[in-house]
Amino acid sequence: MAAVIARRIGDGDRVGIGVNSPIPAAAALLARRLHAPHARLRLTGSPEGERFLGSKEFFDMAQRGKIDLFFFSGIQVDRMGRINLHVLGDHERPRRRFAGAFGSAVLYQVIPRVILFRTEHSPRALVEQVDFVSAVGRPELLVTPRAVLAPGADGELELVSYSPWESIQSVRAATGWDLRIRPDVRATEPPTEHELEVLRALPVAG
Amino acid sequence: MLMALQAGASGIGWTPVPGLLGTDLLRVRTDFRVVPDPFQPEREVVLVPALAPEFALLQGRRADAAGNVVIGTAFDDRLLAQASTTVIVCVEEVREGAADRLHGDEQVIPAAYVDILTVAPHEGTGRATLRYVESRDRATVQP
Repeated sequence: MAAVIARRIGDGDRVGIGVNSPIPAAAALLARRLHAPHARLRLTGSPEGERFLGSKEFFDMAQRGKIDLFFFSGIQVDRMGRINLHVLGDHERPRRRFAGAFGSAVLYQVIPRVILFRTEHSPRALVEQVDFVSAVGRPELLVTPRAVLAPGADGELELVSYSPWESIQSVRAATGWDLRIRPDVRATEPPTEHELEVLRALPVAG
Repeated sequence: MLMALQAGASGIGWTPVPGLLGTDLLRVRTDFRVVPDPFQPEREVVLVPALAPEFALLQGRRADAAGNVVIGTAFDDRLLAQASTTVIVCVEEVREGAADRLHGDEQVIPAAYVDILTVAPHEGTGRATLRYVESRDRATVQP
């Protein structure tokens, strides 16, 4: 997942990384070591991140269009790329309650490029319709351990590529809606030996 | 929320907030409003009430005798102090010149915002001050 995301980070991109986004953080550090040495990271806790602005100023910057790329996950992600960070079940009587949107409702609509990531690719995580719309926007990609999805012309997420150990059928079976397949669907390019070496050598957050 | 605090800090009753359109936050937050943008009426904009807390309780690092507080930058504490009616700050130590020099992750909350200052060494073991306490203690212990 980190290698797939890293390949989407361009040299000089201004990349924001949330406080609970370890896979995008690894991807950004990987990209800086390979093809994007001048990517500018808003990544707290890393010496490679730019000096921390405070959340307020980060949001102000994003709202002024000065962040190019950001990452979200969600308890649920649906076929239109909406994310749920709030509750499972009815909002007033939830089965489970989670930490909340953390500004994603704003950032998803003001940051031009958003990549979604979800470490569980199953019918309960990738659903037809989220129980609660915490944030909505147009994602560039959804990256999971099984597959890479991207929106079609109507915004619905479609299968772009599947991990080498998966198939179109297995990804469709693990997805909670009737997943459309891109005509040029293929296996995801696996991480190269070099990408893996660099990833394994990344500093552990202190 | 940060924009709502900024509105509170500026003494404005509400503020427009970008984004939010199409989310269920607008369904459950009945105090949010969606109105036509007065300057671009074909677009909608979300208005939210200002946040102006009665009290802000902050954990600072150090302060000078005048009440200028040095605090970490991680939690928008200065904005919270600006927006709140009564600001109570606990610091590790009070000494002369405490606010004259700052480390990279520090900012000053001017005494003008601080209503009550308390001193409690080693209280700040939360994230905001833990590293500061640890590094100061190491500096104290080591010859």
